[in-house]
Amino acid sequence: MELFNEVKNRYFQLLFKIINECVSGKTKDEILKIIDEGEFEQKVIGKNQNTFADLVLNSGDKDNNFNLLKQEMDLFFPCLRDTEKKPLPIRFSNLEKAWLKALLSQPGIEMMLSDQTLAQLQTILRDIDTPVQKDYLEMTNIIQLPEISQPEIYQTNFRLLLEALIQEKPIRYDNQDRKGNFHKNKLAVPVSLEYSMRDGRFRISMFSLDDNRPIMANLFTLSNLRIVNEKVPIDREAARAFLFEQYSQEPIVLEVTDKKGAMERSFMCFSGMERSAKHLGNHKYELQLHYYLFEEENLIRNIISLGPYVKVITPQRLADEIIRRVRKSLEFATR
Amino acid sequence: MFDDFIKHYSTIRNILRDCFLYGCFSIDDLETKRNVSPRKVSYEIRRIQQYVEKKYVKVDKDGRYKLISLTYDFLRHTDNFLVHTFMTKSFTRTDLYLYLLILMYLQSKNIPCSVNAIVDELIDDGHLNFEKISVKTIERKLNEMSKGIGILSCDTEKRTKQYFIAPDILDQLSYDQLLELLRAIDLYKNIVFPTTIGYFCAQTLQDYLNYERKRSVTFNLFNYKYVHFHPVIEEQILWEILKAIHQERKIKIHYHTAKSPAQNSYKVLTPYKIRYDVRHGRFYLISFNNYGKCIISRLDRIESIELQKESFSRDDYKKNYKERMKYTWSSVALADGKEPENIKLELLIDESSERYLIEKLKNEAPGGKMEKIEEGRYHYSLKVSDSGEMIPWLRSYAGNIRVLKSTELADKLAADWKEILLSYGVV
Repeated sequence: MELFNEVKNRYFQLLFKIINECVSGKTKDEILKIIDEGEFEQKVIGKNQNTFADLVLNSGDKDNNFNLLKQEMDLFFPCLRDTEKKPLPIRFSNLEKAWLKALLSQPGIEMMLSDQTLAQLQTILRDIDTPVQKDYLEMTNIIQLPEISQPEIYQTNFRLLLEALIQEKPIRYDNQDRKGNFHKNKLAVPVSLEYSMRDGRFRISMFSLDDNRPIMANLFTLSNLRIVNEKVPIDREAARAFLFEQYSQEPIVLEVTDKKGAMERSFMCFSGMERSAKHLGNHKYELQLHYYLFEEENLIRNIISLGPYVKVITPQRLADEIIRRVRKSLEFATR
Repeated sequence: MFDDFIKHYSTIRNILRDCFLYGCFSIDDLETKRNVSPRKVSYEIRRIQQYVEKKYVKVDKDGRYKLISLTYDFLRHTDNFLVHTFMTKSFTRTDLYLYLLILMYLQSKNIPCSVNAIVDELIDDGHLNFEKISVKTIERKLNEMSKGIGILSCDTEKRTKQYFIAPDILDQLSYDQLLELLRAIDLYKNIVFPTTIGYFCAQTLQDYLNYERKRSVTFNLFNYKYVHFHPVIEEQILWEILKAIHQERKIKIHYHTAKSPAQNSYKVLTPYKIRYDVRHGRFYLISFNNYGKCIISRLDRIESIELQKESFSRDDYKKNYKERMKYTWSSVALADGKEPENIKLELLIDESSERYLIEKLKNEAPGGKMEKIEEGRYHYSLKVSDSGEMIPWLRSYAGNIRVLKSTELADKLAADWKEILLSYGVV
């Protein structure tokens, strides 16, 4: 099966859904509501100005109507059906089974699936041949962290934190930070498990109720971790909102000169940040980036790494910091 | 049936990439960049605006020019909206009608059915008209639905093919087990390439829970760092290459270069591996030509892939790949007859506040040897295929690093520092 296939077309899927929804009969208005929620904001128009809804409800051109629903009184039903079953079965495609098979051999999958589920899925998919193989795809520019000395602690903590997120409950824990300080019996609301594609590690993003601020922690440094039933003043959504508040008030403005691939590398590097750009002429571009304050150090390193063709215009504070570091480097180099 | 859809993903691929990554090109700019007509550019931009949710589309003005860009924030939006552009393949009324009608028909039967049985009953009940749809067409559709898509199964009984709905592989799994699986798919759909298929899996399982188990569920448990959305634009090419590698078949690639993006050349190659640069979100194909030369191609510059009849054995290229790429930073192979370069760096840190840089450097450039010279001064030695590739990384340690070896690399870096200061007007 091809990746770009018509059965995955949004409207193909929408009609699939409508037929299944109509098993006990749906009115025209109910069907129109499903279509409205599922179709593009800018509706598609077929031949002779027929809309998708016209063709689903058989009110368009006689030759173009889908005729997959039939009307009985005020209700629409699938044109063929066995009342015991859903009219259309849901099955994974061959393409999806190939991906699922690869999923079962991913690092960390044992933390997401129980032994029993993993074993059952391995049996179900044992005959599937998949081109999604670790040996065919290599990641580069990654960070190879040392192996975790006690993987069982990492895994246990992962499962517990996942459970806390599912149940939307706070946690208590002890933690040793990067500087070696020990924090005992801390209370926090977990916000999300964060996966880093560069080092392949999970970290927990949470809102510390003791410090009243968002924090990030390594899973393997947490100990005595447990889900608690204590009443806390904020829920997960509110905790997440605190994280979003850490957004820079003003964007950082960069001037990028399109030399030696600097433009392409810059735009790729910052593709996950809310941004806007404009062409200044003479191979120069202005790039405005919105960023989280806790990402500032990373941002500075990234900008310097992009070299002489990427320059900070504002804020001056960041430009000064870059100048300071580069001056220091030049001093080292000419020592 | 609807002109809004496209037959080939390549129709929108380049313009989608330009809109997403850059977002600063007007229709005129794109016309020049891609050497296509302004009409074609306007048409594809209109499609992209239709396929992508409004909240990600930004329209700016630069003088009289309208600039369309697609933008998001990695922390607020974890679902890759560009995947929606893969849900746009055009179809005919017959494609749609036959697919759904056959499924409904076989679902309502509890026994396997031959083509003739299916056709006869559908004609008798007035669902099919021979003048419009032939038996051959139905046979082709059944074949596609069983062999290609896999939603049907097919057994041969007395030389007659019998079709039935594919077995429900999730039947034996409890609701809680399905939730476990859905969470796993939800996490890995942004991590395991091709990620588009992961998104398809998530949708299928959600539909399954909804219609087969009558339970609806959504969650938002994970966030990602260094997950780029734009690589998805190259996933159709990626998928074709992965299949060719798996089948050990050569490919013909139609390719354009940075200097002439509008011109295509082609090469017949033995595809060996895909390398993915996590920092920039860029795929490279590592392949060999018929003379055994290592050829590296960016996937975003490959226009199309043709599978060749000629096969190869992966084992024959294993040693060559290792020799060429063992010390490669990202994508530059060791040149013919060259030895890897020996690099020596000096790391200068404030031991009270910057000790973490020692581990950071070792983790980012693994395989080297770190030596403490004195308090706050460390030497790190490593081998690389081409030191030019590591310059951006070296620059990221500005203020803490200098190159001791090679002199050529040290000079290049020093020249960069001077040029950066010059760009800020500081000499």
